[in-house]
Order: sequence, then structure tokens, then C-alpha cells
Amino acid sequence: MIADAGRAALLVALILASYGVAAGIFAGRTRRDDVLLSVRRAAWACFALVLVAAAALIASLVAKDYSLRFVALYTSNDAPLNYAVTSMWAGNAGSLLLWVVVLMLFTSIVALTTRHQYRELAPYALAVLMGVGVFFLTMINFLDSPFQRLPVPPPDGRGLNPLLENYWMQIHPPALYLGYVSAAVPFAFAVAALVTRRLDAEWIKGTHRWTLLTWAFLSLGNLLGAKWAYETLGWGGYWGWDPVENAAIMPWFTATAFLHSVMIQERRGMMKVWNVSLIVATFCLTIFGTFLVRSGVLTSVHSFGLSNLGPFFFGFLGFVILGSIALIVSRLKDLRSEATLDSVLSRESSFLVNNLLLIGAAFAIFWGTVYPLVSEATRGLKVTVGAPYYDEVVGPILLAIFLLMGIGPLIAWRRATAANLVRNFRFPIGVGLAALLACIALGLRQIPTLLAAPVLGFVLGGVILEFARGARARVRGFGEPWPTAFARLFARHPSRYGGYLVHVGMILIAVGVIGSKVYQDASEATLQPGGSTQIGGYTLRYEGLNQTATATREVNRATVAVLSDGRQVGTLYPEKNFFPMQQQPQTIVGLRSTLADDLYVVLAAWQPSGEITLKSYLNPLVAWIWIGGAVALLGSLVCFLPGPRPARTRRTQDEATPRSCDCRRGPVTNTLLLALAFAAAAFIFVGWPFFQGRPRPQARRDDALAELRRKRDSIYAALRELEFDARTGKISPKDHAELSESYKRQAIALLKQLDERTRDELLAIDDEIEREVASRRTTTRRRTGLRCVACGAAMDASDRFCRQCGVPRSRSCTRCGAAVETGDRFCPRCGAGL
Amino acid sequence: MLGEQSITLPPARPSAFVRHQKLIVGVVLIALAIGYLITTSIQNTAVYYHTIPEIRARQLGPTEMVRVNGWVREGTIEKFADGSGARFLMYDANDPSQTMVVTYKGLLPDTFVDGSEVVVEGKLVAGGAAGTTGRAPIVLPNGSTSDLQFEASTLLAKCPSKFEAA
Ligand code: HEM
Repeated sequence: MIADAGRAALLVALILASYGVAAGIFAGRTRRDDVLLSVRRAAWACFALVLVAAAALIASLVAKDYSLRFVALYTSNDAPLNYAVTSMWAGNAGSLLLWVVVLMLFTSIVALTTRHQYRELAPYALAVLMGVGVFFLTMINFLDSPFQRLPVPPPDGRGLNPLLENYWMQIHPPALYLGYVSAAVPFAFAVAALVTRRLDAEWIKGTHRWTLLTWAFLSLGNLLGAKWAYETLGWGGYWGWDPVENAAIMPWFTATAFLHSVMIQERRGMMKVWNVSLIVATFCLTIFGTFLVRSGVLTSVHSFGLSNLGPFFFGFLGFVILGSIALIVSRLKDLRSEATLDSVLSRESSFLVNNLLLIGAAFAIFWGTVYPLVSEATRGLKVTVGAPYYDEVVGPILLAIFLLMGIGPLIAWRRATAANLVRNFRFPIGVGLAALLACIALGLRQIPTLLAAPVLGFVLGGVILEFARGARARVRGFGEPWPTAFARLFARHPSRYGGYLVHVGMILIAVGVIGSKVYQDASEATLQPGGSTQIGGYTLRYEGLNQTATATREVNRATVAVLSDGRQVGTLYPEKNFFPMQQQPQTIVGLRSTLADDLYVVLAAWQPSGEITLKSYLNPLVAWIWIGGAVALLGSLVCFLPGPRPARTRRTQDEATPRSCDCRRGPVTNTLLLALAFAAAAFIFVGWPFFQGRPRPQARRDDALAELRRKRDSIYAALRELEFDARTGKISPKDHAELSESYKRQAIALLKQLDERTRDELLAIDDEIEREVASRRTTTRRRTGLRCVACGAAMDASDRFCRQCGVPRSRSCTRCGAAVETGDRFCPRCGAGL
Repeated sequence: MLGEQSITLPPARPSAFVRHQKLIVGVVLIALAIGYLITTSIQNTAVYYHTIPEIRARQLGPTEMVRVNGWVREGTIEKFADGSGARFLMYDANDPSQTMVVTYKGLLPDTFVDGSEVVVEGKLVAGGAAGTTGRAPIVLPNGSTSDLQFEASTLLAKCPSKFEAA
């Protein structure tokens, strides 16, 4: 019964989504607001319906309804509640449902937040999002349904793989999905902007913010994935360049590239084609990632098994790529650059190189990931590359990226001069050299360290310099105390200083990665109780083995004391367990994490005699990866500061809650009846706008005006930035004067245009008012019942004064004496107030 | 931007290519460097990915690393008592009669169980077209063996629960 509701909800959701695509396009073409409202409602109803489906699946999992194949596969009688819920994303069908829920959540948010902005883009953007929804809903309706039945329900389920019963596993897939799915929104806006040819500042501004969100979720998903791998896979590392990991990191690189190049477009109106392409690429890579986990085309530790979805995904991906390319090519004229590069030594060209490197890294990873397929297709031989390839290629590219991350923020927009460079680079270079000398003094002389230390120091120095100068400018300029000045930097320039915070996070992550990669120490020892072994500066003393067994789990837990300088600093409990039902071993790592190093101990084997084999790793500085990740996420939150708060997502689903129903009917009838009920409710909800009567078409004259205003604002912002740069001494007085002059002239030109526009606008409004007044007048006159000017009470034609308030019905003008109508408030001849 | 063309751009500019010469050269250089990095690194680190029949047919050098994909034959896993690795019979996905004995030294992943799909990387120590060495074939505890003997340095096993059983 519950499952029937889920099945019905998915079916109606598919129909609604298809309707949303068609109606969205129709609304876009006709600009009819009632159709658009109906599309919005379709999005909300769709969200409600997939929520119902997800709730039905979770309820079936919790209720252990083994008549469903999915439930029987992924949970069991003894599964605790939280794992019964999270087993939703342990299998293909359930995780696709999660995908759709997240997609519809974002679609609903878009439907909600575009009510007063993005008038022209909204219908197409919603159509694209619903189109993506159609694709996924078709899959979970017809190809791999989570509500598929088993002919004979088993008494107990197969149970979630114990390896997935892990804290991080519960939150890592949803976080990654938030990142994957949110990439659909910028894509939808890009397509909408291309279709409507409204490739102006408006869409890029909204898209920028959404991509920040995508970026943050992708970062979170990747970090949690790394953490999961580190704490559960037991091989001492956190990143293995597995195809699925690669798939998750590629869109992160392209999104990062977009976040930087979009700034060039916002400031200078350049690189439009490039930015649209980055958005499309990011979206395609998220679909590719979703596909890779399911296709079985590449071997991965994380993948779902072979499934029949491969061709379907491939078709969709091909359609998206070809369609986007066609759309971009057909709009090349509208995507022309509004300015050209002024100098090779400028912020713009540093962003250009930044993009090149980030895309280069993404491409290198992509190439390595698909190389087996490429080589098989071209040479008939399957050839793979492993971790060494990625280390060799991505390592140097990342080093270059960091170097640029230090340079970029220190050079000015448009043009940097030699004096400017010396002034800005002295301190960061000093910090870089100091970091290098410190490493040498500490005896850390490995090549990667010697290369990375000065670069990371240089970046850090640059960030410190930026913060210090910014705060000093505020202290001097506004007389604020230092802490206030510092805090206000974030509030006043969130994008800039939030970005720098993200960069600091990246530095910390780099420190952690280099520490743990270059200085990892590993040892293996077979120990009797009481025996001990050394690793790094630590002594591990094996105290004893504790063995317990239940019907479902045999636990073997070793107690290992950690000693440093003869003093006990901690105790670790590595476990090697076994789940007899699933015939599944499980390793639980003993982990002691400090800021300096992680002690990572795995129980490799044990004997009944009590002898054990310990494999231990000393991973220096790993903790900084997680700390750096947190700092980066905090930074992206700061970037998100300005503008309206994220929209609330009100649940609009009362009309879609399952109705009570006679459960003795067969599942097919149940599904049908429920589907009819859902469809009827959805029909009323979605069709409602059409019964409201045609609203008067909205005047859209303000679009061009709004665009001019945005341009004006962006010039104001650039000017403000320029003043700030001058005050912090980043730019020479001569350049400052010159640039300021040019900005001001642009601003004046814009203001003039704005004035003209507004005047036209005002005249037009005047006309409209006049027409309105005229038409009101005639109608009032034609009407038999006259109304009092002052109080609105009905009057007879014979009345000279209002019976209610005594105001005279018709008067003569006090100034010129002309006859005045009852309704007039000004004299029609001389305009004097009455 | 409006008005900008006339204000900031001096008249009669040279062509885009000439103006951005330095930039274009820089961009091309970076792209070439990345391309070079990718191609050389692939040459240095690439490993052939074979099935068991392909291994049998190919002339493998005694030190050539290859990657082989297959399944763990049920009941053949022999774990070394000291936890230093395991030995098992691996069979081909398409032709289960094609087998090979794999000796793996290293930490066993939890996903490595009877019947799981595995990818091993290492070298062939006996058998195959090259017919290397006269070493006696290793016989697993349950009596099964194969003329192909493989020493693996890495072992990747697919998570069997996520595998959607037919
Ligand atoms: C892995 C590498 C990098 C990551 C993850 C990263 C991340 C970010 C993020 C998230 C922002 C905030 C953007 C926004 O507000 O929308 C930002 C800002 C910034 N990034 Fe990066 N970045 C990286 C590399 C670079 C490089 C190589 C450069 C050099 C050109 C650079 C220069 C900048 C600058 C100048 C800003 C501040 C822009 C402003 O004034 O608002 N970044 N970065």
C-alpha cells in the first residue's frame, strides 16, 4: 500500500515534469504569466510527489516490507533505524530517487525565487530543470524502480553491506548529490539565457551565486568522501584516484574555474562563450559522474554493479552536449566580448591562466579516467593508468595553480606596472623564502617539499598582506579599531575576502596532502601480547585481544597502548570483525589524530593464540586537510553573504499526501487509484492559474532599463573597488587617476542613457495615466449612479450636494472659473488644484 | 559596455592577434606543457588491462606489469596466517574455465570475499605464451590450480553488496 503510493507518486511526477517542460517553453514563447505560474506550481507539486515517493521508500525500508526488491536487498530485520533510512542510497534505484528529490527541491527553490526577477529566463530555466527531471524520473519509473516487487517476499532481507554502515557513508552521498544536482541550476539558467538571447549581467549574477553553492556542496561531498575512505577503507590513505573519485573532483575543478572567470565577465563583459561553456561542462561532468557509478564501464571500488542504464545515460549526455554546442554556436553573435584585454600583466590575464590550469587539471584527470576506453577504441588494447599518473600530472599543475593563486590577487585589474609589482610582491616573496628556509632548517629536504613550501608561503604572505592592507585602509579611512576593521572587510567585500579565506583553506589542505604523502611512514609487525613495535616516534604496545561473538557479528578487538617518550599518550582499539551472514569481513581502524600526525593502526590478522599482526601508518599533518576544508567552506559561506537570504522551501504538498484507501485491492489497482488521486490533485493545483482568468499582461518595458541600472551598479562597484585598491596601495596613483577617469566617464554615459530612458518611461507612464483617466471618466459618466468625489456615496443626477458629506457635486475652478466635473481634482483648463 | 568602445579604446588598433601576441604564446605554451606532461606520464605509467585469455595469448615479459580483471572462485581463498596477503583462484568473467592462481602480498581489502569481482595488478611468474620458468605450479588448499601463476602487488575488489545481484 505504501509502496503503491510511492509508485503512483513517481508516475504522476513524471507526467507533471513532462507538462512542465512543454508549458515552460510555451510560457517562454507567449510570455503568459498564467502559464508560468502553472509551471511553477508543477515544480512544487513535482517536489511534493517525489517527497511522497521518498517517504514511501523510507517507510517501506523501516517497516521491512520485503515484498519490495529494493528493501529485500538493502536492509534486514536487525538493521537499526538510521541504517534502514540511509540504505535508501545504498542501491542504484534508491539513490536515483534521492537525486530526483534533490533536483526537485532545487527546482522548487528556483520557482520560488524567480517570482520577482529573471522574468524572461524563468520559464526556460524551469523547463530545462523539469527536462532533467523527466530523464531521471523515466529511469526510476520504467528502468530501475525502487518499488519493484518480488514474487515471493523473503523472510529476511540481505541487509546493508556492513562496510556501508558507517557514519560518513550516511552523509557523504547526499552531500555529493547536493553538489551534483545543484550544477543543473546554473546550466538551466545558461540555456535559458542562450535561448532568450538575454546574455547580460542579470543571468550571470544569479548563476554566479548558484555556482558558489554548487562549489561548496561539491567541496563538502569530496571532503566527506575522502574522510570516509580514510576512516573505513583501511589502506592508510584518503584519495586513491579511483574513477568515481575522479568523477566527483572534475566538476569541482570546472566550477572553480567558472567562479574566477565569471569575475572577468562581471567586470569587463569578456569571456562570455567561455563561461557558458564552463557551466555546460560542469553540468555534463556531474551527469557523467552519476553515470560512471552505475555503468560498470570502468572498474571502481565504489560502483554499483552493471546495470542497463548505460545507453540511456549516454544518450542523455550526448543530447545535452550536442544541444548545448548547437545553442552556443547559434548565439555566438550575442556572446561577443564587450571589451578587450588591456595588458598581459593584469588580473584578467591571471584569471585566464588560472582557468587554463584548472581546466588542464580537469582534463588530465578526465583523460586518465577514460583512457582505458580510448585506448581500447583506438588501438584495440585496454590500457589503464593508476595513481602514479595522476600524481605526476596533477601535482605539477596544482603547484602552478598555487603559484598563480599567490600572484593573481596581488595584481590589479586591467594593468599592473613594475612599481606596483615590486611594492606588492616584496612581503609575500619574503614569506615564501622564510618558509623554504624553515623547511631546510628542519631537515625537510625532499623535492616536493622544497617546491611547495616557498609557493605556499608566498600565497599565504599575499593573503596576509591583502588582509592587513585592507584593514589598515579602514582604520585610517574610517577610524575603526583594528578588530572592527578586520570584521568589516568580510562584510563589505565578501566575495574578495571570502575568496581569500577559501585560498587559505586550500593552502592548509596542500600542507596536509604533502605532509601525508611525502612523510608517511608504515610498518608491519607480528606481536605477542605484551610485545611492542615502533613507528615514527611512537611505541605501540599490544595489550591483548578481546573476542566476542553474536549471531550476526564476530568482533576481534585488539588493545594497543600508544607510548611517546615512554609515557602513554593514548590507547587504540583496531578491530577485525566478521559478519557471518553476509560472509563479510570488516576492518575498523584504530586512529589517533593530532594536529602534528595521525597514528593509523590496522589489525591485519589475529591467531587464536592471541598473536596479532598490526599494520600501522604514521600520517603527518592529515588533520590539516579537514581543517583546511572547513576553512574553505567557511570562506565560501562568506562569499555568499550579500543579497537576499536563501529562499525558504515551503512544503506545498497537502494536496499530494496519500489518501486512505482499501488495502485489499491488488497493487496494480491501488497504484492506479492512487495515481488518479495524485493526478487529480496535481491537475487542480497546477491548472488553477488558468481558471483565474487571464491576468493583464505585465508591462516589460523595464527590462532594458533594469539592465542599464545593473551596468551602472557594476561600474559603481568597480569604482568602489578601485578606490579601495588605491587606498590599500595596490595600484599606482597614475593608474588610479586614469582608470578612475575612464570609469567615471562610462558611468556618466550610462547615467545619461538612464536619464533618457527614464524620461521616455515617465512620458509613457504619463500617457498611460492620461488614457486611464479618460477611460475612467467616460465610464463614470456613462454610469447612471454618480458618486461623490469626497466620500464615494451614490448621488442622484439632481443632487447638487452630496447627501452624505455635503461636498458640492460640480463646481467651478476657483482660479479661472471654468466649469469643473465632479470627479476632477484639478482644473482641466488651468491645472489648479481644487 | 556602453560608451566604452569610444572612450577607452584608442582608434586604429592592430589586429587581435598582434595585440595579444604575448598572451597567445603564453596560452599555447601552457597548453603544450600540460599536453606533454599527460603524454609522457601515460607512457611511463600505463599498464595493460587484460582478461585471463588475453594473458594466455600474449607474450609477456617477465617483469611486465599488467592488470587483470576477473572473479574470485568460491572456496579458494587461502589467507596467510600473518595477515600478509592471500592466494586464490581467479576466473574469467566470460569463460569461467579460464583461470589463474593469484598470490597477493599486502593488506586485504574488506571487499575481498568469495565471489567478489577483483582487479589485480602485478606480473605473470609462470605459464602463458612466453612459457616462463619451470617453477612448480602452486596448488591451492582445495586442490585447484592453474598453469598461469600471477603475483599481484595491488588488489582491488568491488563492493559486493552494492552489486545488484540478478
Ligand atoms: C584550487 C584553486 C582555487 C580555488 C579552490 C579557489 C577558490 C576561490 C573561491 C571560491 C573564490 C570566491 C569566488 C567568489 O566570490 O565567487 C575565489 C576568489 C578569488 N580567487 Fe581563487 N581559487 C583558486 C585558485 C586561484 C588562482 C590560481 C587565482 C589566481 C589568479 C585565484 C584568484 C582569486 C582572486 C583574485 C579571488 C578574489 C576575487 C575578488 O576580488 O572578488 N584563485 N577563489
